[in-house]
Amino acid sequence: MAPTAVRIPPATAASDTWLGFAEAFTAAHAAGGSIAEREARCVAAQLPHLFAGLDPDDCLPPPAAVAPPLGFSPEPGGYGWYWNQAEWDGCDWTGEEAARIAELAAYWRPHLSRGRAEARFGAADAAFAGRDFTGHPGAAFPLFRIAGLTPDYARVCAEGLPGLRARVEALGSDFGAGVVQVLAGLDAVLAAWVAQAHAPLAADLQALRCGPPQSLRQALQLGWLLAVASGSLNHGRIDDWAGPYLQADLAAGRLDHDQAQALVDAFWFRIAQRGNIWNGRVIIGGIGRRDPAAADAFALLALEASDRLGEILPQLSLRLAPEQDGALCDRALELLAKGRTYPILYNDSVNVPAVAVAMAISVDEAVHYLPYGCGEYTIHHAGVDTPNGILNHLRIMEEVLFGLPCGSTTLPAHLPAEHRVPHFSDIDALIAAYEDRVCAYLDALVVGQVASYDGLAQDACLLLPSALSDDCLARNKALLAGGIRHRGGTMESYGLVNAADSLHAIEQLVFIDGHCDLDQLRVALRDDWRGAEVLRARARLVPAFGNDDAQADAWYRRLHDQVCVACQARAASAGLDHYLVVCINNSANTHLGMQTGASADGRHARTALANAVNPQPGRGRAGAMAMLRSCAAPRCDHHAGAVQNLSLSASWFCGEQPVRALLAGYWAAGGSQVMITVTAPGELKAAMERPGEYQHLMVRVGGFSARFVDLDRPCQQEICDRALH
Amino acid sequence: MPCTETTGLVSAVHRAALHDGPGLRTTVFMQGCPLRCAWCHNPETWSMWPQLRFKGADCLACGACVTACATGCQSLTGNERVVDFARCDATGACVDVCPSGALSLSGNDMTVAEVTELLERDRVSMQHSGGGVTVSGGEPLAQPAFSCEVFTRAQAVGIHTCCDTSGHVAAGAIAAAVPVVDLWLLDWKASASQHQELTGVDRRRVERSFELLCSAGAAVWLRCPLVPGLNDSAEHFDDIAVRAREPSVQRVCLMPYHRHGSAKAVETGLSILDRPSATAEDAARWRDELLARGCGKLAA
Ligand code: SF4
Repeated sequence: MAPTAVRIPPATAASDTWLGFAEAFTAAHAAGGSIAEREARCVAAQLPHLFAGLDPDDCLPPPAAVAPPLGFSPEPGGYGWYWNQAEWDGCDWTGEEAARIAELAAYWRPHLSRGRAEARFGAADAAFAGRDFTGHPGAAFPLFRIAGLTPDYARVCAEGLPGLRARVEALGSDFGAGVVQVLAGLDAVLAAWVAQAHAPLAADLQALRCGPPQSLRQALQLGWLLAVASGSLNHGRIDDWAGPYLQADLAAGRLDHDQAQALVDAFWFRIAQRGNIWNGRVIIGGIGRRDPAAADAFALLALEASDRLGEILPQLSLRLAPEQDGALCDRALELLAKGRTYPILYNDSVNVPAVAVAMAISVDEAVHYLPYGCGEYTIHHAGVDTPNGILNHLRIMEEVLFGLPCGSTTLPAHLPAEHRVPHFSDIDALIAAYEDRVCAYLDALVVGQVASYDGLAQDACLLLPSALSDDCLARNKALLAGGIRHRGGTMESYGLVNAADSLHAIEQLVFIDGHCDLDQLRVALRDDWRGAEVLRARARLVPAFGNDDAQADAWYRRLHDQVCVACQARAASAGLDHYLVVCINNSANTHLGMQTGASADGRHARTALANAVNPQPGRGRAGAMAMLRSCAAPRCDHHAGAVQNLSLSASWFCGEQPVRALLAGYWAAGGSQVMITVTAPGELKAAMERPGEYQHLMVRVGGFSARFVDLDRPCQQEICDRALH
Repeated sequence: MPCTETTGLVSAVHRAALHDGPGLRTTVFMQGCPLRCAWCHNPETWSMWPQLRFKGADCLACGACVTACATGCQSLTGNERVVDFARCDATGACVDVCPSGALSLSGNDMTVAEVTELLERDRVSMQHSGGGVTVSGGEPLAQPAFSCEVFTRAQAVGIHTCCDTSGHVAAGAIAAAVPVVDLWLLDWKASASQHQELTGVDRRRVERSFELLCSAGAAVWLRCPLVPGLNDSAEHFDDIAVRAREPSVQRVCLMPYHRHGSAKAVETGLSILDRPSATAEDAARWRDELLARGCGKLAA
């Protein structure tokens, strides 16, 4: 999916230079040699085009440019060797230029990583409903990318670029030679900037060419340079790697607090400019930072920067640890109370041991778990855990109920009259069929996962990301060719809450109360509940996940455990160190829902699925405490991230800040993560217009609180009309 | 096996309540109240028996309730649904068959064990915030055995207890509850001269309850519902200011009228006051009235 620009415009694309670049890049590729040599030549040619123009008076290297339409990248521009036809089509080319582009396209067709990965799908491809999960119904889709690679910023800051180069040179391998060539390309970029920049930027960049950073400013400069150059969209435990420089600068009087804040603000602005709303993670807080006091000082600047910027990026995430400075939590709540939606909160007491078990690693390593992207976990600079597949559980339920084959793209509403549906004698038979189908899709998805790694590894080393990740240099191997310490994979799971609620409703309506038989239910679903409004109402009376209802939550846990365990079980035979489910938060729940028919939980056809581990909109009616209890109940030690959203009214942050007690209970109950949105201007009005989506919204009426949608219209209007303070 | 658990008739339980005493609280609303306050915001709890509620907007006009009802209180003519609450015997037969949730009962049996299990779920949040359990209503001391047992079991496990009472209860109920209630939320609704007219009962029992609590040294927050032009008289403010001087009274909470209860009255076939809600200016004026009388215990 293309990133959506934030309010801050991204650096403009220099499309007039694209064709010349593409021809040079193609020539570099066509010159032959080993895969490392070829990648090194191409990446060196590409590096200057990854950055926008330099502002000579800036404090940081230039912003990331819009990626060229042809290139090499783990993820930001495209997957591996990529060709972005839509970008080419978006420009006006002369006839002669168009012919040159066509020639390039013809050259690249057999070399593109995506095609190389797809060729490895084999029989598994039949299970995929296609490639575009936004375009048509389907249960499983492959994704093409190497996501979440996050450099070891601390190490490269400690040794500097020359130190890294010396270490790589000593490898004496083809892989090492490739890295050296990329570093030389990077040095050439720096040299060009040094020539253009004014002091102090010129001196800083020159210093980085010669040794490790000596100040916070230089550390941030290096961090930004490597993030863009290596194709990393996330910035790791930034308080850990940048905090010591801050502390040293403050102690030496090189910076005062305001100057340090200005630097962090500038770094934040760079991330926002990059505009990738699904990434841009910066992590602060948590267990395992080398210098907690220095890191905490940086983390406070980070919180302040997010407050000042007030943007949807960066995705500031605060890991909470028991011994941590309480000022971080205090400041975090201040930001949330303002409706900033950041930081996202993570509970280390739960997550560290859970990650250790899920990834089968030591606790010492698990302390460096890193939530990246939309909430997937990896181990900072020691793992690859990219999500390369999507599973829509509600679509699986639909397929099973209607007897549709694996990989089907047909909605029940479009089935021919003669279509035969399967018979299920009881709920257990239905569950068994559903679970079998989940397993069938996981068999295909794990093939897709490995293909996405191997399809790229056969043609590329990911030289710079390899040099910045653990063990690649020690093993003298590229990241995807046995270099990185933990070669894992993840699978994005959607619609699980709806599937659980649906099974619960089917059990109740069909097999316990006998309100309908399965055929009648199928007709109702096929017709999107038209003529079956009474049945739909009954379905919606069956308790749903997210209300601290024992039965409803047990249904969710059962399905969640099944898919997590089944996913894990596929790692070893696929040659992965682990293969884990992620229940994350992005817009796929909406896209998939738009391609899924009505469901037995009362959901209408072509409407959004529940988001991550949240109740379906309108079904969470028991308040924040109950919702969080439900969210805290599922196991955390067999997946790689599950996220929850919580919308709170501002009153939770007033006075004694009851939100603290709410969260304390949630963390103690095993809660791992929460994203908090405080009611924003306009939300009450939206709740009046679309009450079904705002069942959770609690308001202070007078001497008491009420669920906003339970108030009558005049009451709602009156509350809407109050000034929002 | 005989049932040994004390059972109460409970209208609703709200978890994570922010405004029923200190901290985060679980509030148990008891069914049944001897008062009939004109401004009541929980009229569905008046009846000492389960009270039928009908949300017309949710009704699908399926007619199932009409068939199920033995008393003929449900009717459906065309698409027009009418509920004759006077004929309802509150068996819940219609609720059981209603597919949409349009019909429900306020007042369901709960055991003390069920309540304490709910409290246990939120104990960390309660204790972190200095919160606990509040038994409200309705009138909690109209079911004194149940309420006191909830308080006793909560206190025994370190959960703070609040009793939100009208005070129009038997002296024995107050005395029995004093040892197990950490904080009393005592309604102070109207001046002596208006109390009967506005609440349906004389104020003497309330005054006696107040005196009992003061003499027992109980911690009391006076909760004063105020309706513009109805009970906001000088006599009432004078009285509140005097009561507030009692050492037992820790806090005076003004509760500006809101017409939220009117919709619930319609759902239950009851008739209560329906007038514009109090404004911020009303609330500011009332505070000034009390401050002018030297009342320094006003809640923020
Ligand atoms: S049973 Fe419920 S939905 Fe049906 S007519 Fe009665 S109140 Fe309406």
